[in-house]
Amino acid sequence: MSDINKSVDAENRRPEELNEQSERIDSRRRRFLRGAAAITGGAAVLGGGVSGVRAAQMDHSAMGHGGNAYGSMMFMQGHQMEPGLVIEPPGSPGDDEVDYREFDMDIRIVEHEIVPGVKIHMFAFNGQVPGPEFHVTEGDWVKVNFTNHTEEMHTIHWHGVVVPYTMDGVPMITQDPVHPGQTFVYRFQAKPAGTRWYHCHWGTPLHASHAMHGAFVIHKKDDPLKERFPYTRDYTLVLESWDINFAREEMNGLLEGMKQVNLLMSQGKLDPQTHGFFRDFRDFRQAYESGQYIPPYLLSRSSGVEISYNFFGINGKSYPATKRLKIKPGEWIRVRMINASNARHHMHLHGHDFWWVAQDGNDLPQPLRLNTVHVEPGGTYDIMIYGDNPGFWTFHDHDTTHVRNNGIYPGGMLTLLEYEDFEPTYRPSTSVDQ
Amino acid sequence: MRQIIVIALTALICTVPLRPVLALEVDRAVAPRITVGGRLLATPRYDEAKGFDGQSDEDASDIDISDSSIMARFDKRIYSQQGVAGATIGIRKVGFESEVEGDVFFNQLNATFWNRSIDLVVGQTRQRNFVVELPTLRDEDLLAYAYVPDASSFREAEEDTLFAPIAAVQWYPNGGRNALTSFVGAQARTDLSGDPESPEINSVGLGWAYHAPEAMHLVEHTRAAGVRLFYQDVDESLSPSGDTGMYSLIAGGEWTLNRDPSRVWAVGVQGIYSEGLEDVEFDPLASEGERIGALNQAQSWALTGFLTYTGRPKLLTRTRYGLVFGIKDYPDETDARSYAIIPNFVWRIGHAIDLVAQYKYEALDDGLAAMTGFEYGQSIQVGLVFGFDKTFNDQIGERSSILNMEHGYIR
Repeated sequence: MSDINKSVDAENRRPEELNEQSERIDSRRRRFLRGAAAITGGAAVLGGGVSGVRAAQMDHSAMGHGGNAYGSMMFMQGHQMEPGLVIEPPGSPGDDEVDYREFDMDIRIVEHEIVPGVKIHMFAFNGQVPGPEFHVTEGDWVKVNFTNHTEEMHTIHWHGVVVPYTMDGVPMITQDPVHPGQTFVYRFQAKPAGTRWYHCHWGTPLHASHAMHGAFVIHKKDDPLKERFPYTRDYTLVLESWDINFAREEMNGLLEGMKQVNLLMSQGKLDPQTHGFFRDFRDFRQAYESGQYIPPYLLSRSSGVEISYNFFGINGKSYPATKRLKIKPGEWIRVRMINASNARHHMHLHGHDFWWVAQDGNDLPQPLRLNTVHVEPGGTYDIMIYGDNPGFWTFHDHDTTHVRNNGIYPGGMLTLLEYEDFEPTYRPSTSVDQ
Repeated sequence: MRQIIVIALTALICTVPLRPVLALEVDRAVAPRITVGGRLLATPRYDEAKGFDGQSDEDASDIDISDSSIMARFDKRIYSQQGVAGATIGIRKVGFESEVEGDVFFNQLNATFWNRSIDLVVGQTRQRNFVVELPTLRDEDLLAYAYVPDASSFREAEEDTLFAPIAAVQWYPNGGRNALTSFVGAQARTDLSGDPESPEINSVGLGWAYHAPEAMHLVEHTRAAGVRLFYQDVDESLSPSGDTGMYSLIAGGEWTLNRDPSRVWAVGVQGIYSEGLEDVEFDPLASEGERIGALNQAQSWALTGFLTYTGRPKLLTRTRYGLVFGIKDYPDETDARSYAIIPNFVWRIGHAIDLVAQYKYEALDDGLAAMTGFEYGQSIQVGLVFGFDKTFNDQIGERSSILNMEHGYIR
């Protein structure tokens, strides 16, 4: 889905990988989901929420909470692994209240090749790096059945989307992390419009920046930008930076730890403090001061985990494996940049000015004409490019230390703007060591 | 024996790409992965031995720092990305009663190559004369029970038993946990009086081993298991009968008994049978060197084992209680059995900083006591162990990592 060569109908594009089901959900699936919801209480009655929908009242007896309180299962006596459990949090309407566009997402470990010769293991949504690209229309109701197929815990945070807080995907703040084998159902209304994104919020320095991220584009029904810049192709560039050594060692370390945690949890023996969970700050302080808990951040337990990025990429690939942007003379294209990395990226286009039209999904009051835009971590930046200078033009991070693969230039965060229907006098080749 | 050596060396050489190594530049642009590790043991100790049959009792006290060691390992990928080559250098403080010259010696000085299927080491390193490592404070604590004796050595030197120049290959047919193992080695040689002789290849071995990744030890039952056939070629001048070949068979394993990584019970057991050389006799009146040689060359069997409990509240190792035992018998001799038991305790006060205490009791039947001069002995030591292990420029994933073992091997 991250194929930036693909020409799409921006308004109606839907990712095939997401197995979008709103039009064809069958009764069996509905029965399954409802049955599963019944296990956890399900969303029965709706009350007032962010979108004006009534807040859910749920029977959480199966979660170990009395009455209708919705809280963490992690502090439940004998809390166990429950693979196959479907968790339906409160806060959004039920299936029969609104017409959901339903998507299935999972997380698994894959071998991903960044550039020929450099392969690493990554946590990946639906096995893709970056994850599948959502395209929905503002006001759509979205339902995402997120299943965790790893031994690690995960969530999905909908970055920049205004969701009920129980859908925000922040572990131990808005929900329990999704345990191995479990499914968490996110339901929310797609708003506001613009280039948004999503990422895992558990173990964020590794999970979010290394692979567990993807675009969540909410289209307006009538887009004034399209009237002013009548673009015909719409590209999404997820900007990434990887420390592949940190990723490997961190994943190995956490899998080792999680095997032990999961074993304890499967026997109902997991003490929440073992996983670093405390009811509140007071409990944490008491656990520390009593000597029962020794925090892993102490200088006696850690000298600091270093992250030193050595590969940089666009949509999961480093140059020269990155895909090119295509344009024709006289064509407008829209490029949505999402900085999923932890570094600033100064994206510079050769041979053109472009119009910076939106930041963090929101249209700028006045587009700015630039040729370099400074993309901050976590931010999204939309630009419009007009094809008025046929040729092959590099588009890259102008912090050129990011245009390297393992320290060798050129590589990393670099791609080309390539004109179609154009006969070049000099045809570009591939250079990987200057 | 020489035919075996030639075949083994030929097989070994065929696994190593032959390249000229002299006069080529060293590319300083490619820094190796560097792993530095070490351990310092400092234990005040007290030992006493009851003399046999009128021989005088002995006692001794010491601040023992033997077995303290430091090691550095360097690894680089080879061009084809089909493996990793490396070098290891390590030094170690010799035992306080050792006859090895000097205070320290090179226990590790070897070149390595490994990939998904092969693990090769050539040089000075740990001998392949055991399959289970016992949780004693020092390797020497059950030396006579836990390792195949060196039939070519007539001197007291635990280093001779533990380390030697070897060339060893482990072959993992499917890249998994099972390996076929083989080696040739140059065990220490002495003359009849215990003086060192020049080394030559005099041992060869073949076996099977199962190794669970260390990361899995607390969540799976079988940690390791193996069986190995070990052959030593003894110089004719050292043999009482002209018999120059001695086979030993080693078998053992380690298991985690329960499935609770916060309270871990583990057990291990190892048996060693050595066929011995023909016509070896125990003569209590022989010289010290000859008596040591006889103990190394006689037919014997040894059984060792351990039981440990490790307390890991919040999954952080804090304490370990261990009980280790050994039984050894020389069946061709009368009353030649010995027993040892070692309880020990480790209190972890920081990352690899341990307060330790260990007691050892060993008793010998009369036939053996006559050879060694003591009937029973005991020792107690209490002290501090400081260890560390740090990897720099960590750019190579290990063959046995969880990711490589369970989620597809990445070269």
